[in-house]
Amino acid sequence: MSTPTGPIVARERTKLEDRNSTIIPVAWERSGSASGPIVIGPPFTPAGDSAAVDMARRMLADRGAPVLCVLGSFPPDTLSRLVLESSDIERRVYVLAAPGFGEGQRDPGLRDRLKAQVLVRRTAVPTIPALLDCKRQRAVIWLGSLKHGAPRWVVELDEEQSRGVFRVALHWFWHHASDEAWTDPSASGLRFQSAQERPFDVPPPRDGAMQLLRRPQNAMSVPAGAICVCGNDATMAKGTSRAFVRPSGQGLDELAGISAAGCQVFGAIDELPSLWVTGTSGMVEWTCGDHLLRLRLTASQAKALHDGLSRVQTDARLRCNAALGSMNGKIWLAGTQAEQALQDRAVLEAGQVSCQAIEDVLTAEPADFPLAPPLARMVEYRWICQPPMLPPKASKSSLYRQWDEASQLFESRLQQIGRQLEEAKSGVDQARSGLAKFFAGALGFDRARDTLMAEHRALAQIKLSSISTDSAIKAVDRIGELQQRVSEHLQGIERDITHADAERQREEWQRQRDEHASELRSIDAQIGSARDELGQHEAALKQGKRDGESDADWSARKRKLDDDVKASRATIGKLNGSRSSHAQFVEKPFEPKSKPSPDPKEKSRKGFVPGPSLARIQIPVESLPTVGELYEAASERFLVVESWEQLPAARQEAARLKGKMVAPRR
Amino acid sequence: MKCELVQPLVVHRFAAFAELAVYVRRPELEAMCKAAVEAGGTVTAEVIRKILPNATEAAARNIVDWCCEIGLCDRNGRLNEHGVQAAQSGEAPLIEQGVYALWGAEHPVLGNRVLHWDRVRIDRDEDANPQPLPMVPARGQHWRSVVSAQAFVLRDLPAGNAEPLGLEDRAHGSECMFHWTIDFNAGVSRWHLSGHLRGGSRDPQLSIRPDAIDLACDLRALADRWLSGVEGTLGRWNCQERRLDVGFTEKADERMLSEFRTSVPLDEAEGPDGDVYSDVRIQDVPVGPASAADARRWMLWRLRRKLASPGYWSAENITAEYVAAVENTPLQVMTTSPQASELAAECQRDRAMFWRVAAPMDLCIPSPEVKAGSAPNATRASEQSPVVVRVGPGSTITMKQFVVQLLGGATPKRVLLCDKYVRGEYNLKALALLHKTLQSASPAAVLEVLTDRDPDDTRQEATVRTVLGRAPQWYSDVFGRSTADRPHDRYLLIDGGATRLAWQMSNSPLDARPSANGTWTIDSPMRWRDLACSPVSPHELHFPAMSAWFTQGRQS
Repeated sequence: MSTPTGPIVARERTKLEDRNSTIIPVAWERSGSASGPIVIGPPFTPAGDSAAVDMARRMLADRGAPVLCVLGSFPPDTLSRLVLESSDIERRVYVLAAPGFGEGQRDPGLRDRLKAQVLVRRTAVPTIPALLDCKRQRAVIWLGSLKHGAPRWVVELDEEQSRGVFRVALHWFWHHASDEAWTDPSASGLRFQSAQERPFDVPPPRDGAMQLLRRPQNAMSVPAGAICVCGNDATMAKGTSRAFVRPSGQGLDELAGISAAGCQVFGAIDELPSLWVTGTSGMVEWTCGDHLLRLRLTASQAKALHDGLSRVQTDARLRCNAALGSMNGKIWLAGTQAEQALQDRAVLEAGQVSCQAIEDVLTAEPADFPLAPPLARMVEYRWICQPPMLPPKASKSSLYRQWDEASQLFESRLQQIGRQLEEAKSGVDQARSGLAKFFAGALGFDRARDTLMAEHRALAQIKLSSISTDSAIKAVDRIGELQQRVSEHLQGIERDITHADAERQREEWQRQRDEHASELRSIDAQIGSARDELGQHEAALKQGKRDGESDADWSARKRKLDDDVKASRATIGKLNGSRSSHAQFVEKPFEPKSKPSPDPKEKSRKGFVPGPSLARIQIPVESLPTVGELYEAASERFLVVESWEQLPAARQEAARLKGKMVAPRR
Repeated sequence: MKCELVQPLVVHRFAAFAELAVYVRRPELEAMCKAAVEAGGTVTAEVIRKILPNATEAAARNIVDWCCEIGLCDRNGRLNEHGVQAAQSGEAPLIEQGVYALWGAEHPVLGNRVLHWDRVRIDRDEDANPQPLPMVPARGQHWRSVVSAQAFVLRDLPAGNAEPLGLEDRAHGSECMFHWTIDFNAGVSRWHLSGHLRGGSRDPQLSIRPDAIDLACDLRALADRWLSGVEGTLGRWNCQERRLDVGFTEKADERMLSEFRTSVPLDEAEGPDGDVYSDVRIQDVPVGPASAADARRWMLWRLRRKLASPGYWSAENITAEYVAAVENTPLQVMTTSPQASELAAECQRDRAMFWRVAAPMDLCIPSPEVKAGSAPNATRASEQSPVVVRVGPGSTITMKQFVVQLLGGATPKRVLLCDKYVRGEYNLKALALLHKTLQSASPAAVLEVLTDRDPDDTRQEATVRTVLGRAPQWYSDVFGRSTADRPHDRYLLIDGGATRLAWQMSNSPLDARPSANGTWTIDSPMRWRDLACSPVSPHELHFPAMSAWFTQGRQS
């Protein structure tokens, strides 16, 4: 057996069995060779012979006597012709026919004889063809089966038989007709209507030469050594010397016993009804609906039939305990519904085998093979091995989700570190541009950041879910270290920038203090000169009126001095007011201003969302399979393997993951 | 046989001075007449004094004279019919004179009669010129108004001397017809008037009351006189048979052929009054065949009509229908039952009918003749029982004789009559008679009935139960719906314990009817249809339900 390759799918497998030596206990064998002709001598006459026509015509000798023609399901040509002949001479002709008679193609010619006196009644009850002289009550009948075409023999009945047939025919005519029509010169054809009510009851004969018996009835009592045409009732053959039985799948065991007792069992003679005959007596039986019609044969009739049937061999025979290889043609086995041809080779589908393991697909067989056709000489069984399949409800393993979450956290941490490094770079750049003379460590920061960036790039190359658990744990440790270093790096930068900013503030504060001190000095000088002027004005007032100075002048000068005093005091007050702000600035010591703290809301929000740096990366305890895909259903694990080539590696992975190998659903 | 003679009457209306006796309520005369009737029918002084205690003899004499004058009694006080009538109705004449409008007519039956009167007033300003009256009414006749039925007597017409005078109204517009109804079979002869009277175009129309009045006449002689003179084409009146003998033709009136009645038109007929009436039609004149050949053709015609209904007819059924077709008809004594072949030939033109007759004739099992032989008996044969019991249509055997033949000496315990028509009053009477007859043979005998349900008779079950004391069984329940499975013939199954008999019958024994005096007793001679009873061995009965009936009896 070659190692399979390609996708893992269902595989068809086969097995052969030779059955030629199988023994068939009992069966009908129809060889296919034609049966010999059935020759029955007088008083039976072949229906197609002119002698038969003459015999029937003798029935019609009394031209004044009404005639009753029972046509049966398969009207003999002779009988149909005699109906027309009788109607042509305007005698009363009564016809009992099967449904459909008289219409379309089944009108023998009555539509052209509407002046005739023909009354047709139709019945669905199977009847035997017969021609009866109603006056003399004499009859001829056509002997044959009711099911297999027109009868082949005609026989004239004796007086007792005729009386019985007449009574049976009347019973059928009056009791069982469903519709009727008659020839009428004023009509264009036979117009069938529902049968009218009968004029009287005609009970059928129950004893005598002709009997019409309601079924079920006891089977005919067949004398030992008789020849029997059994029809469907094989039990009649018991004790007979020769039996013609309709092949079927029923009663073969009984027939085997009858055959073992010395009876020659042949297939049925379709042309004849059920009957038995000895050299001197006999009985014929027809099944007519729910009745049996039995005719007791005269000695001459029985002898003729006996002689004829003694010579007949049909193409079907009963085989007992025959090897299958020795049989030919068509065989009817016990218990079957129909005969069947022998088969040289039969292919049997043995169904599907569901394998437990993928490797079983190459070796598994059905627990039970189907029964071989009894008539097959060679049998090939075919079946399909179905690999174990992923259950329909199985879902992908949670291990994939765990690895996805770890990978996402890992990447998220890397992204955050990347953003911090970018922020560090931009902070350094800003400090470098705004605080150049105060930012002494700018070059050192760049080197540290380049180192951190290199480590960041190295970690970004790692695909966490595709590496082993140990490697993944190491990668997580590395990213923790990197994050620590980046944090320290950022703290150093921030510290230096804060210091540079304080120096810049001090320089600014000194410059402003100098400006305030200068201004203060100027104001103090102005206050001194204003006080001087005030002193002068107050002194002038205090001196009062100058001499020689008129009062008016004094008054004028005094008002001017008052105004000047007021103005000087106002100036002094004003200068004192402006001096205080300068004096306060000058007297206040330097205090560096820290950077404005972040927005409280922003701070609060950040407090609720733990940063990625705080999340712990949980590495699953098992790594993902390297071959196939892992699925779970309930507590079971399934490793889906696509191809036979993956099978060896998959077997190890399945063992590691404690899963069952299955084929994918296709 | 009846006819109505009709004649228009000329009604005269005229005004004349007259004296009338008008019958009105007269309580005093009523009391006196009643007393007279109680006293023997004569108004005497004693009678009068019962009403008028203080009446003297002279007063009584005057009263009697007055009663005689107004027509209640004779001079001796003997009450006449009007006096007796006054005692009964209270009406007695009141004599009055005045001018009256009188309507009168002249007719041989009526005489010169005043039909109606009315009081009128003659205006003196009118230029009245009395003339002789157009008719002179009879006087002293007791009449009733044809309008109001009030009795009156025209006592006198005083105007004029020998010839009464009056004023004739020539435009009154009255119309009146005289009707004379004669029923020869019932012996009825009576006349009445119809029409209306008018006193002028503006006066109201007064309808004439159709009160009929008997008028006796010799009706037999009248029929002979009238019908002996009919035209030969209509037939010949047979005075002995009292019918019109006609030749049969299918073109004749169908009602005549089926009911043996016809109507004979007479252009003119002299009435019993000697007057001549025109366009007289004598209805329901009995008819019969003119000859035996006519009778046979007539009988066949009637049979053909029976055979027109669907269904085949056995010889027995044809015989029975023949009896029904001729029984109590003129054909009965003039024809005999036809052979089926004769009937078939008769129906040759109608193929459907032809086959209904011919097919049962050709396709039947001939019944053996009645002869001594063994009866069908599953357990015991009786040498005395006949093979076939046949009761011909002319037979008058009693029900008891019939049943005795069928029992063949057996003592029946249970009997089943299987008959599709156990319905109708007379069939049920016959059933009761059959039951009674069986019980006369064996008092414990139980008669059961198996029959077809009559869809139009909701009381069928109850009526059969009333007769037999048990409900019938139904064909549909026992035999099913298929006609092939239902018996056509009748069957009588007799379970006598050790003896079991079954009879197949061509007709029903329930068709038997009393032959003469109409009494339904087991010893009364009966009329029978053609009935052939053929024995059947119980185990050979074609219908399984019938065979089972015997078994059920054994089981129960």
